[in-house]
Amino acid sequence: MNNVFGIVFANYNATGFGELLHRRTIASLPFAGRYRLIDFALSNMVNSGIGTVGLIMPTNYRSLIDHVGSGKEWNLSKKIGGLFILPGTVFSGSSNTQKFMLSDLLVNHRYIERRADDTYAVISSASNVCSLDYTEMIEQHIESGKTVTFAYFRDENGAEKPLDCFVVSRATLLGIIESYPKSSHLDLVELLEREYGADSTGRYVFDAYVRPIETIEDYIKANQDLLDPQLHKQLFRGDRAVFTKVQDEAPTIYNDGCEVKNSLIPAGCNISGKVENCVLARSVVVEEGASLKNCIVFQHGTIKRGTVVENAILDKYVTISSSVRLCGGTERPLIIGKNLTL
Amino acid sequence: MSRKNCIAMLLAGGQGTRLGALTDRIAKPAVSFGGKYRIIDFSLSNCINSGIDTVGILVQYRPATLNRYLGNGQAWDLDVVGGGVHVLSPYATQKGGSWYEGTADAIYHNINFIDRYEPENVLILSGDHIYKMDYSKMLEAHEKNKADLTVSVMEVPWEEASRFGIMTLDENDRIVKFSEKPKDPDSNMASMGIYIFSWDVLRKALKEDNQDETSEKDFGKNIIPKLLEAGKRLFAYHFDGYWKDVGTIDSYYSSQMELLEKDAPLNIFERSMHIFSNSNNSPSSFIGEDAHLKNSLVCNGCGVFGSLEHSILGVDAIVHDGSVIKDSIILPGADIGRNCRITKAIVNENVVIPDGTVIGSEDGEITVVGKSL
Repeated sequence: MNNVFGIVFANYNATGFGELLHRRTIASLPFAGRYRLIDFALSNMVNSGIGTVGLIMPTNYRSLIDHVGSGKEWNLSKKIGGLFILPGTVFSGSSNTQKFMLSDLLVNHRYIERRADDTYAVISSASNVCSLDYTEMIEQHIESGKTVTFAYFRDENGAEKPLDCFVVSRATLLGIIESYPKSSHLDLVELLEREYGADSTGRYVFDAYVRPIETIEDYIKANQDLLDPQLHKQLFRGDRAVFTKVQDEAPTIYNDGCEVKNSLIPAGCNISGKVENCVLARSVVVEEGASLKNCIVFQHGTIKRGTVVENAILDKYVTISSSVRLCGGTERPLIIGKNLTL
Repeated sequence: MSRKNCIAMLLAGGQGTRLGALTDRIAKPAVSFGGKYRIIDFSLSNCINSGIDTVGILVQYRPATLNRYLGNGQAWDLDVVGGGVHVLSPYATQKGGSWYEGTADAIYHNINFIDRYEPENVLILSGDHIYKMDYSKMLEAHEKNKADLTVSVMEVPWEEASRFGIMTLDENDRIVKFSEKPKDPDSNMASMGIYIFSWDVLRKALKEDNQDETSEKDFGKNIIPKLLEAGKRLFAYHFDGYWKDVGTIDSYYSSQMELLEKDAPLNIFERSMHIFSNSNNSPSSFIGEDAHLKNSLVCNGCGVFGSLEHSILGVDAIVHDGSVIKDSIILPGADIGRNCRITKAIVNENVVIPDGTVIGSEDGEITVVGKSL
């Protein structure tokens, strides 16, 4: 499928995540121990045969660019096509929550102009948890002759919700680029919906698991979903791989006396204590006599002897010292910021 | 091409017959180790950790898995411009083709490859040893001694000396005698099969040895004795770290079980001299509701729903509920069904064990399960 290129809009953030999104952007929020949310958007493009992807960077791009690098982990470090790091516009700094800013498209007009071999673009946001193949959606779009096809998914109650993903022709994008002033504050999706009525707009509904991450509640739910072995398998062990930056850690060591239940644990950890219903990242140390329950721990967390931590999210390099007891609420977990020692 | 001080040639063509079923379909250097590594990872990581960025890998026996694993060397940071990993298999010429007949013969057939880098020195390595070693220190000693050949040696117990190639040294660590598996050893300094040759000396020796029809074309049996006889400067380099030849099922099993010890002699967890591997892209491991884990290593991509005690679970291996794995090594991709009892066993890669299977016993021999039951 050589005639489709991708654009991932990542120049937005979310609110209500406290310290977790203080210095990072939602696209680079750690997930499932080894991943960042952006991995899903990039893997979905690649798994759909799209070999050219422009990634529109947020203003606070450090964590995101550190993660995606040259794009080689997604097979996007290539001579022809590959990953294009595109600048985002400064609209409202790192607290902007608008995903598809038209100004981000306009400022990157060259990226679209130069895709002369491509006829269509798949455009998506950067913070959905889902493993999808866009091929059928693209085929439907081409056959239907519509101007734009928006993707939908079904939530837990079966209601159709927009997926923040759509197919549009390159010509349509070029037309928009010509017609709007660069300083435009419009939203690309709103513009497409307004400009092209129901007759020119298609719908494609995905039946797979999709969890968009917009609030901290979404994030907690997505982590709970992971602890269902069937869902975990569906997301990571389906027909498609989810690619991420490989860290090459040693295996995790489970010492005598550890008690681990219903948890997701990558390589590189050292577990001597109790871990229940947790999602750990690499290089987490749980010492003897420490107890973790319903927690999400980012990389290099250290839980010392005699500690009890429940319903908490610990950012990178957090150390919980001996005999501390931390308990958040099931609905409102405690969020402990990066590098803190408590 | 700019001149290199030292490039490495890694002998990875051996079959490793003593590893039995584990090398039925893959070369010994490609055999899984410690759950996520393959044996060759140790030599390759040592190279990059020692500043050697050009490695020729001599393959011969069943190289497919090894070739795929090596890829372009990127996993070891060995995808470099003007160097990197090169897989060197036997080839045909206008005069016909032949297999590599011995360790020295393998290098002889790749003289042109080495010449292209114009190296001062060539490091000869085996792809089947487990150790961490900084070759740059050995190279320093080689240069300081103005040696023609430096052999890495380690002290072995006197009673075991007759199993090794033994070096007799003078007070300056110059090698005065070399005896292959001597009956009455006069030294307990054993060769580790790691050599640094000055390239011009080795080049000449290989060409001469190739003309010798009685030669077995082996470094230990032919090249080294001939250089010694010719009065060349041969020195020993002492290594006192952890080193293990995992050529037998016993040593393969015990060296991995050592990883489970507290303060294990080989530290795979420390960041310095990190052992790299071509990790696949597997997700975090799932530890189930009724799992029990005790003194075990678990890699990425695993599912643990049963019990794991004093065992190693390789990448993407699954232990279903009700099963008890004890004192065992489950290689990558193996699938252990429900209610199995696996004790003191090695289960080969991607082997499927049906529900209710009982394998091995605590006091018995090590059981190797080579194929799906």
